[in-house]
Amino acid sequence: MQQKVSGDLRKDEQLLIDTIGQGLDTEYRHLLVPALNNASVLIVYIKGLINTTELEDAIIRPLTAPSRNANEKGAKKTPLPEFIESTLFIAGVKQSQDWTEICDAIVSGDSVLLINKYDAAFILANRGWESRAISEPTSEVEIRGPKDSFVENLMPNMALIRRRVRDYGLRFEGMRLGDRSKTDVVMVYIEGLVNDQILHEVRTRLQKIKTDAIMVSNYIEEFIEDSKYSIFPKMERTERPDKASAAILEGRIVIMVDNTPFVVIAPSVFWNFLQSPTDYYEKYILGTFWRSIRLLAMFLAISSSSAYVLLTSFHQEMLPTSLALKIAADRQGVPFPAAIEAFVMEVLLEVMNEAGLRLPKALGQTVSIVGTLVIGQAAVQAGLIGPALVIAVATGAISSYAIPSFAMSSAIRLLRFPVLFCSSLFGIFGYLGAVIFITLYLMSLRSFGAPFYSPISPFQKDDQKDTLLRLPRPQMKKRPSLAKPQDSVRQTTTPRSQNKSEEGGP
Amino acid sequence: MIRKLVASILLIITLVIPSGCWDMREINEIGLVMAVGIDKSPRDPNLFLVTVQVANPQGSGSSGGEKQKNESQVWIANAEGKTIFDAIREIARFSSQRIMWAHNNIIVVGESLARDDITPVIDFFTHNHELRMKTWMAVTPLSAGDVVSSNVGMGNAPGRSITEVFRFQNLTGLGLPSDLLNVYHDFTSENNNLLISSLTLNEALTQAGLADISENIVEQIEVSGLAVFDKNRMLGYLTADEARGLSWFLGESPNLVISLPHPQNQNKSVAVEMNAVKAKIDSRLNQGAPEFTIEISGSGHISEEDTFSSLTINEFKSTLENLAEQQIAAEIRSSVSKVQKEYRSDVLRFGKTVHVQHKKEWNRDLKYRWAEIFPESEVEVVVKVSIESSTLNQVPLRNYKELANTNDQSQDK
Repeated sequence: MQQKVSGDLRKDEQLLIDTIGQGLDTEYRHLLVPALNNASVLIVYIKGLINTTELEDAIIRPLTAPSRNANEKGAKKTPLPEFIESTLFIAGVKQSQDWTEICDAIVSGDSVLLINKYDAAFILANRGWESRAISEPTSEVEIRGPKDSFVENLMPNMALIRRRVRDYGLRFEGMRLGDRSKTDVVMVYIEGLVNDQILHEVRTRLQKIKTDAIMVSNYIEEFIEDSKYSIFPKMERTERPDKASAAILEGRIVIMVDNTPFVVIAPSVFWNFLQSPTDYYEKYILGTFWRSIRLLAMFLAISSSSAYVLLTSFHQEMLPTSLALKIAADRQGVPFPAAIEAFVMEVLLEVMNEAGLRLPKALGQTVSIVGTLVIGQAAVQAGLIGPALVIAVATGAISSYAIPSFAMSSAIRLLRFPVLFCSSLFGIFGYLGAVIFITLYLMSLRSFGAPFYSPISPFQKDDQKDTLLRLPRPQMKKRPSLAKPQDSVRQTTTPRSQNKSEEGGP
Repeated sequence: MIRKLVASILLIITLVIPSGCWDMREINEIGLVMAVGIDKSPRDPNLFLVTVQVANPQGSGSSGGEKQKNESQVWIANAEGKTIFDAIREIARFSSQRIMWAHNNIIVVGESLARDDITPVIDFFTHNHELRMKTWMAVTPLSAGDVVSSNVGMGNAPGRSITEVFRFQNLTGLGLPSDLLNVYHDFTSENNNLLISSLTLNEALTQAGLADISENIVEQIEVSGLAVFDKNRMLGYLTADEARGLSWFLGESPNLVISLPHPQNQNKSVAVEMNAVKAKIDSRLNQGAPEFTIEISGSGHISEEDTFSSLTINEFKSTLENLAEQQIAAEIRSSVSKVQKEYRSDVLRFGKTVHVQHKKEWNRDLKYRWAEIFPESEVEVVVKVSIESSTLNQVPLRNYKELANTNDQSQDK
């Protein structure tokens, strides 16, 4: 649409009707403005997207007010843009001749004011639609720490970050993606901290996206991430503004997508998915302890059922004698080999998991009763499965829930199946082969230039302070090298170390 | 293209699945050997008679309280064969489960076989890749089959109860921890002979709570000393008391109890529990003839003393220490001299000591004549005991009623 505003109100209105239609929600409001010698003006807006009170009080009322100085000659000579800006009680007024921009403004929720015999339109920012209030995070619950979370609306989300990071360099760089959805996408970073190359890379990858619609942030992730076919998430997602702000302060880039209450953090490494904000909100020893528990949980989630199969079907010598006898006794008369038993149980568990996720609350109890009673107890009592297997499978399931990131936890739950398959075929050799393969694969991945397994491999000494360990805050003098920040120093000296050097001095 | 891809993936899967599961065996389909006994066949001395005790999980496990009381915890089978492996294959022929050795607890060798040649037994079990080298080994004067099939123990499968007897050997000192690894080591070493614990059955204990006692006499397995070997042949036994003398310096941290006469009242005894016992064998050459010093040091701990004495703590302590030292030294001397004079076989690691401490002489000369030198070597025993515990200060338990009586009587007089 290369046309420009013609200045002929009827023609312009017709053009608008041709472009955005005359639907139920689209309003064409005609007015006569006494102050402009009763010139006829047109206000176009989408009903659900504007603040109606504001429209009435701040736009229509001043425009239709009888001109106080209608007879004064000076008033007529006021140029139209200045007149509009000074008459309307509205924060944002922008003049435009470009039809594309005007139409975009209307569908985004702005009102557009067209004046007869004036070849430009005024875009009036009075957006205001119904949106969810900021509430507590639902998928990333933390015991301590702030209780606000992102919402579907971009503006409050940006405000949530700005409230935490008042650095002058904080930038919200916007772009519009999706030919039809025209979704706003914002890159958030700190100028002077972020690595320019990585920023450039993220920007180019975003700009390369040519698609018709972006519904949620995952649409973008799949377009821009490295190794698209890998099952591991390579960018962190969070609904917590504190986590997003901390990432920005490490020099990473946060990508916000309109209508998605989750933001995406790039680049991210594997170990980020085992960390949780609470690690930083409690004593450092607890943080380290929790991280090691999560690492253990991840290991258990992948290997508990495989370990059961390989120990009972291949390597009975690795069991203590009394345990071997106990399992053998419990397995008397079980009709299937341990491998098939384990596969069936794992699949059933995933089915229960999937059923439970989307079930209405009232039905939730039914699932847990049927699941625990029928599948757990009855199957064991009927001798269809061994009780030790139920313990192994349940351990794996519980452990997988201990991984803070839902995406990573799901990826690991999925990986249990190939590992179990290999273990059932080749015993411990199959298990080790599968685990080594997964580890090597993780090491081969990258996230926006950062090796996905760093800082463990390649090993970065300084970053160990905040990977599996969590050292006290004063010790973490440097920012993680993950995002290669321009300014890597977080703090120089701490009061305590100053004291020490004074004491230790001659 | 896609067809080819799918076809090749299917081919790989069909390749992998049949090749993968071939050595899969479910835990409930294998028979775990708990104990094995090897004898000479009574029919033909050239045949081996192998008795295995296989755990029956149904009897020992607990699946939801449905444990059958009557079912035996073990299943016992025997078979004969020209070689041990032959006999074991014979068992596999009629057993319903595949036999697995990894959980075996003990190998019992019958005396007749041990006196003849123990080599095939050690060879077979060290060849077997499933067996753990920590499996106990024992010799029995009875038939090994009887020991393996005896129904002993408290609750566990019998084979495992036997292991427990061995586990607490450092408390009794009646035998030595002779596991397969030690036996293999001693057997192959050029300077040391084999010493294997011996087991006997003792029909003494009864199962409590059973009405008909005479029918329920339970045999009890006990460690009854040591079997002394020369090369691959068994020479004879050391009794349990003699074995105790050796375990002071050959055992693993012996934690033995010695009973000493009370310094002031010969009818009463004081029990001293020895711990932190350290033993050292030293050798020196006296004009080419090796002489040995066995140095024992340890601390004692009074665990029973119920007699009053008028001695001060220091006097009491030093008297007891002297008594303990003498008693330990006497025990060691009698055992060592029995080994030296009667069996003339170096099972005491003396040769090893000389080998380590006087390598040159050993290699030049001594090792060729060791069988003659060993019985004639001088042995000195030095024991140092220190009783250093707070129990010294503890006043013996007194019975006040009795005290009161004696006081009354003295007043009456």
